[in-house]
Amino acid sequence: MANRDDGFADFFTSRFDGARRMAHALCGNWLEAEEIAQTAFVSMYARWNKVRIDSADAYLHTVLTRAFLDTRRRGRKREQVMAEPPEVVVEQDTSSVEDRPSLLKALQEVPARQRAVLVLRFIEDLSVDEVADALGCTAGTVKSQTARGLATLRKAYGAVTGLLQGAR
Amino acid sequence: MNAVDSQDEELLALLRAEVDGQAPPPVHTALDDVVRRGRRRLRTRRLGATLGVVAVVGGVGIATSILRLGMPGVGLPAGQINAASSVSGSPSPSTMSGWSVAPAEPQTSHAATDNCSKGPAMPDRPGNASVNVDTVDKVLLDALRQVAPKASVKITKATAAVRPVDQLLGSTWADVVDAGGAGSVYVEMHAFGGAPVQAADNEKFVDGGCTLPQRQVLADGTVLQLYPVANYTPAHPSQTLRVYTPAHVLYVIIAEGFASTDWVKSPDQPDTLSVPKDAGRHSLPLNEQQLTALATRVAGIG
Repeated sequence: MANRDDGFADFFTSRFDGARRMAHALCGNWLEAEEIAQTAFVSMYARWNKVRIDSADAYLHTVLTRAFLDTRRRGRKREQVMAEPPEVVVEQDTSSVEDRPSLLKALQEVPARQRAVLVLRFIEDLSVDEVADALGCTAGTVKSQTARGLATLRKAYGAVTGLLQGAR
Repeated sequence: MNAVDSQDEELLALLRAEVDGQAPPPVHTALDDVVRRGRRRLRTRRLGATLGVVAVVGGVGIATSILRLGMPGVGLPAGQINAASSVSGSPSPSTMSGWSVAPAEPQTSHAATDNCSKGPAMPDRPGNASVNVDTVDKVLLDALRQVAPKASVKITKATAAVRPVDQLLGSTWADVVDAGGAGSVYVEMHAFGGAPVQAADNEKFVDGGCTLPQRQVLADGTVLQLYPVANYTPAHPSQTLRVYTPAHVLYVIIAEGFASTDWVKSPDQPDTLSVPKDAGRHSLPLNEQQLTALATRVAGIG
């Protein structure tokens, strides 16, 4: 029998990996990113009957960002974030992280809420108004958090590379 | 003020390139896990653990044991009520007078979906409906005593929304214990917009299935919408009847096959409660006739 869960299943299948990538940009850790993405989809499932298909992506941005901010508000960094460890150890391409200065690493130095603004604005390509909707704040707040977040990112990246220092 | 200049653009381009160049490990999250956790969260949400609500002190801790052999006056005749010890003992809605299948197409011009796999259309903006949770508690208890005279009933939790979330006005939960075991009835009150029939059309598939619910329209325009038994967890099935009143209050009445004593702290999330998979009475505490009689009484609140 067809089931409304099919709609959720389609959405999950097509969006989970992208959500996990966004979460990784936010938290800088793939295991934690998977948990954050999973939490976001659990939240979406629980409210799926309220979600319109044409606004589901926007809602996903909202719940995923809030899931990330919740982890930071609770001040927890779980060492074990999955019920079971991956069966296969995956050799990741860490060259961008380890062998040369990493902007993603520098991004983790930006305060969580400002970081969320930067990720939504510049990685997810949302407009100021869309970010404001996702975070439940005003457009003005998004703009000011963007400016502060960029300043922190420049500083953190410059501290690693020596680049961009003195540019401000 | 433009917060992003050319140097920032260069920085952000590098950031995007680094993000795009990531090689993530394989995904380990399965859809089944997400759906299972989602269903658990739905139940947890009903408990009020994750809502911005406060307990209505007067409504909590009221324990009333009732043992009556007959039902005088109002409500269903005693002889019409079956013992609710088995789901399979319930008459099907199609055999109960007054029920008909909800129309597959919306009865109004309101854009309800005709495809259950894509979720419902959003209802109209809700009005300023309000509800007195104490009144709901009283009506619920009185109605339960009438429709399930051999059961012990008590309110175990009542909440009124301080800041309504999803138009949630409040909720109340009652344990219903009879010879078949311990079950419960949960009532959640929401505000809704538009006419009752419109709202009912929009929420035909709100419980996740594609089976059209049964519907009754009362003389005052109240719509009762009865959904099939949800048997995701055989140990504690549930059945929902939604009541849309002309006062724009929606009462979501759910008969549950578990009771308040079945809630336990989740081992992996100590701040939340859940009902273990094997907990419950393996049946509903009310059959469909009883649930309908209860809903009719609740509808009278307006």
